[in-house]
Amino acid sequence: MYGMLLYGGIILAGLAGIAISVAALPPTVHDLWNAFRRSGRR
Amino acid sequence: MTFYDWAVMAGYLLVIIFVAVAALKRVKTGSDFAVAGSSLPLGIVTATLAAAYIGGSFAVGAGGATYREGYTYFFALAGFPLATIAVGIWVAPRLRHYGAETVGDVMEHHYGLATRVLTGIISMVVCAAVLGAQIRALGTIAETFIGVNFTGAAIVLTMIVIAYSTTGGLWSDVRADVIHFVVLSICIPIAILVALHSIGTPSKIIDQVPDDFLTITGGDGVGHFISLFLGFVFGETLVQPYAQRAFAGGTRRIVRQGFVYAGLFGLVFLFATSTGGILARVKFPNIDSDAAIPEVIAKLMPAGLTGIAIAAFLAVIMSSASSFLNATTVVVVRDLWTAGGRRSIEDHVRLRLQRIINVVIGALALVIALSLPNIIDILMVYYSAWAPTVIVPLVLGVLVGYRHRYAGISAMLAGLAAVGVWGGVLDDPFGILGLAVGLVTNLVVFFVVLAVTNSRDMAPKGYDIVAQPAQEGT
Repeated sequence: MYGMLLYGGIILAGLAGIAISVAALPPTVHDLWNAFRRSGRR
Repeated sequence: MTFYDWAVMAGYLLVIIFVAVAALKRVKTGSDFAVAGSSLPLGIVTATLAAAYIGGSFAVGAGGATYREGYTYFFALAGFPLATIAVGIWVAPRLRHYGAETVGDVMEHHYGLATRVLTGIISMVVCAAVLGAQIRALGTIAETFIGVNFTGAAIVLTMIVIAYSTTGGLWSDVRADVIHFVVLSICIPIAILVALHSIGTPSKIIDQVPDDFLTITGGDGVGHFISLFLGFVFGETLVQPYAQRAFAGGTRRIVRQGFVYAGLFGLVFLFATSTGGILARVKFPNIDSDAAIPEVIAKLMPAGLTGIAIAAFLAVIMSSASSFLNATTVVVVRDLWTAGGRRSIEDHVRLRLQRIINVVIGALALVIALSLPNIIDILMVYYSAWAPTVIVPLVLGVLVGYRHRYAGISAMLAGLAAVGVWGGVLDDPFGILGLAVGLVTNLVVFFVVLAVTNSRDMAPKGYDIVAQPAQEGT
């Protein structure tokens, strides 16, 4: 039971982090890339 | 530290510097600087909120406290992510309804100019105190993990924070937060997992810690636990950096979901760092508790993973530092310098002013944190003034719609006086926190003033945030 709690809790934290990262990274990379392209044109 | 470890850390810092350069040309308005154009999508709101509130206390502090007292500190500190979930369900989406940049904007709408100024001053002190503490934490992390000079590391890392928060304000702050979040949210659980695996089986680990380490209230009793828990529930709820992320979300639905998801993530992340403290207790029973997490990382990580783990802890601190730096600047410009726009300045001048003030505040905080750390300690005392002054009138105004030019300021001043006398002068008698006494005093005075004054025509004059029309997806 302790194994499930300890390993389960920590793995859940990692999985939650991955899920939020997957949602957050694409729009962030898109915004940064656009900002760079725009500044390049100027 | 291998070459690979150094390369990982250098690569991570270069990505953050890239964000600063991208923001330099992208950010053109004071609104971008203050609320990132109020158009952030769900993933970014969630990641930036979690990165902002997961600071030194959530990572290194939680591990150290669990090392000393067991999982009771995890249950107490869980008050903050739980409060974030509650705020997400009931308060934050309504905050998005205002066309606001600061908590002071909302306070003035409901209670008048004096409450804006008082909220601004308290926000400034709270944010500056947290910023100073994070700058010192940056130096400590670098010195402990890497063995470099404390002052030099604090200066270099803080200058990177100042650079990206100055070029883009909240726009670059939230994008850098996403990078920080990716690093900290994945690497820290992996580091704790590796440490857990290297120590032994979970049942053997649990057998080696005292029994009261596994209870909710720990060894200090129920009263002590409730006191701690309430402190974490109300301590920094809706302070400017978190409220700013509610103002900056694209829609009310995005804000609601972002706060709830960030709170849920905080709960499981906190469990991971707290477990790190338990592992340190088993493996290194005779060290200083503050060194619990650094010892786990330094001694239990295999070569090649240390750099990732250190980058993750730098991410924890840098994201909070930049969020509180940006918040201090926005409050100083909006609530104190222009008094909510009364001092009219053109937008490009405002953006320049925000950038200049950001550099000045960042540099001042750096100098004070390094040369006069006692001032940071003194400011941290005033940190407890936030909840007893602002929370009650803010939440009642947002949820119930009260607008009253005497109730808000009376409640704030009474709460401030109560926490000052109970916590500062009397030193928390009967073990009851000044924060709790201040909150109750604030609430009572608010309703007494409402009851004894004419309820009509009490709305403050001269400032009215017109509620924005309901947006798509609300």
